[in-house]
Amino acid sequence: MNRRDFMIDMGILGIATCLEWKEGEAIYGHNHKKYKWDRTWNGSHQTLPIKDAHEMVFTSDGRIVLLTNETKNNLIFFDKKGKITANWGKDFPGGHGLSLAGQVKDQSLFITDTDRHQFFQVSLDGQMIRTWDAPVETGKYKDIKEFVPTETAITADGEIYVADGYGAQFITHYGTDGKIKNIFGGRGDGDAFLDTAHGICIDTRNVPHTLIVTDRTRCCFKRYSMAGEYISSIHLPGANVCRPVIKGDYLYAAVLTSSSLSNSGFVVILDKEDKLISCIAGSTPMYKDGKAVLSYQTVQLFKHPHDVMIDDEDNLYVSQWNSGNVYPYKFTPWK
Amino acid sequence: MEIVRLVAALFLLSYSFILCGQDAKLAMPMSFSKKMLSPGSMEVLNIDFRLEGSTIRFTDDGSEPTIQSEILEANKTINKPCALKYRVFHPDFLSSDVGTIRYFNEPKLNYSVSCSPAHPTYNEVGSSTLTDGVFGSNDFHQSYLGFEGDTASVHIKFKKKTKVNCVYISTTIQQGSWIFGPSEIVVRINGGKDLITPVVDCSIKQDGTSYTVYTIYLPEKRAKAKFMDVEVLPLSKMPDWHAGAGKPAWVFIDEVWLD
Repeated sequence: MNRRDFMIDMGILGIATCLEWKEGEAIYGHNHKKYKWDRTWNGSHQTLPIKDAHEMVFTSDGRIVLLTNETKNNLIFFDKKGKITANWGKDFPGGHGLSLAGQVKDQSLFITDTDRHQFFQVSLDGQMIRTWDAPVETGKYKDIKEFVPTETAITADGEIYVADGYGAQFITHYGTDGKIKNIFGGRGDGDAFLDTAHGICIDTRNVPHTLIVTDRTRCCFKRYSMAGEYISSIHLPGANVCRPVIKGDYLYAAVLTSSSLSNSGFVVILDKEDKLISCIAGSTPMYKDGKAVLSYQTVQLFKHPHDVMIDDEDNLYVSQWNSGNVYPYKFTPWK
Repeated sequence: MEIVRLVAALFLLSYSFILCGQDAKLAMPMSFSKKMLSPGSMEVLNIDFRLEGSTIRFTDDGSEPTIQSEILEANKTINKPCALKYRVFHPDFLSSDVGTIRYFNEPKLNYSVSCSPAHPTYNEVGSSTLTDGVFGSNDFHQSYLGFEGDTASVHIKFKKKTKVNCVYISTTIQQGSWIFGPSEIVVRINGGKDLITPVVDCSIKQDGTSYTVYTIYLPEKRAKAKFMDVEVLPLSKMPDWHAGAGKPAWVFIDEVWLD
């Protein structure tokens, strides 16, 4: 066989291998939440710079929005195929938390900035709508630099909860008029206190609605009433969870690190009963005496996953912090 | 036409490697790395790694485990000092890095060990950590004493004059968490002359977590001791390639024992 024929044969072998690939493809996750990694959505052809890929949301008109702390283009808009359709934003050096507010036609973005100690409401095309400074009027802050907001959650009627996850660990609640109604949480040792309150969301799966707040240092989520009363904790040993994301009946969260190991991490999925049912790139979920046992990274797929987003076809996207400036990873459901 | 066929074949070959290659590398199990064996006792070894389809294979002759190596079954019994190297395999992923578990004979404690104060965050039960026979894991929050830029000064006091062959000092290195190996280890017997032990240049970059047991062999004529001092010095400045360049490194120790 000459060299040319060899190459042609290898190409044919490649095709044959691809056709058989279904048998051996890597599947991530467990139970009925399993995924394939879509490696065509890898950003290798993208030209916009990314520092830390912090958080993502999916708009009602089908756009994926990524917030990065790269001030050349803080906000990057993608379609589901990974094509960049827009970018803007040079004013968020500490761009960290990204949430959607509003209904179908009047959606806007809420951005927290850990460097500027502020959070903002911005239109989808980049127009600044409103800025909030540190909530010093609560008496909990002596210096605005003590306020290092990491996340917001906005109710359907426009009330705002902001988590001070890198600061004093309070959750500040604003009314629809933008004024402070309540403040709770804070640093401390009891159940109602928080340590690295990195994320917050409104759990609309049950009535009455509740708040779920990250307590990352203690590897758990904490559930509060909408008035800020502590209800319960969801312990996930080994999982340094980031923000909770509700989609359908499930709660998804990126796990920044597996225990305290740098360059690790995975993604957890919990069902409506707050039970861990799947770990993407993590250990098979296991319970003993009703308590979750230690979870950990099994495949070195991620380095510090920071957020997870699910689109309208249940595709799952993972953005990562301090991971070599990588674009988000996309996973498609495996059936 | 031939050129078109050739180009197409090259493209398909590349594409097939992209799509069909193993996805990612397996992580290392979160296992202990060292353990003491009580005289006459038997230890049961289990490594937790909950990934369907994976196998852990091991060697006990110092060689690197391969896909042909023996499978580490559940409840493997260990009854003598040894070093097991292990690695995880899975058909859909690249094999993990190699881990090592070492078993040592538990020392006869005819001495007491005290240590200079560690950083409050990594000083759970104080000096007794160093002689409790429990080695730390890759979670450095437990079973270690951690020193931020400070020398770990260990004082060993014997109940009676004792001949010592060597000193073992167990450490972890997790450079991503600013924990480096010691830059120098100094041993002093009965307050005498410093015995400086050469150590590997700890500023060399390494991925992941490693565990090192430093063995300091003592000259026979010096080795009858009433007391000994062991100083474990941290790296004074982290190297330029590190995120904490210029700042002092941490040094972590979990066990100190003698032969």
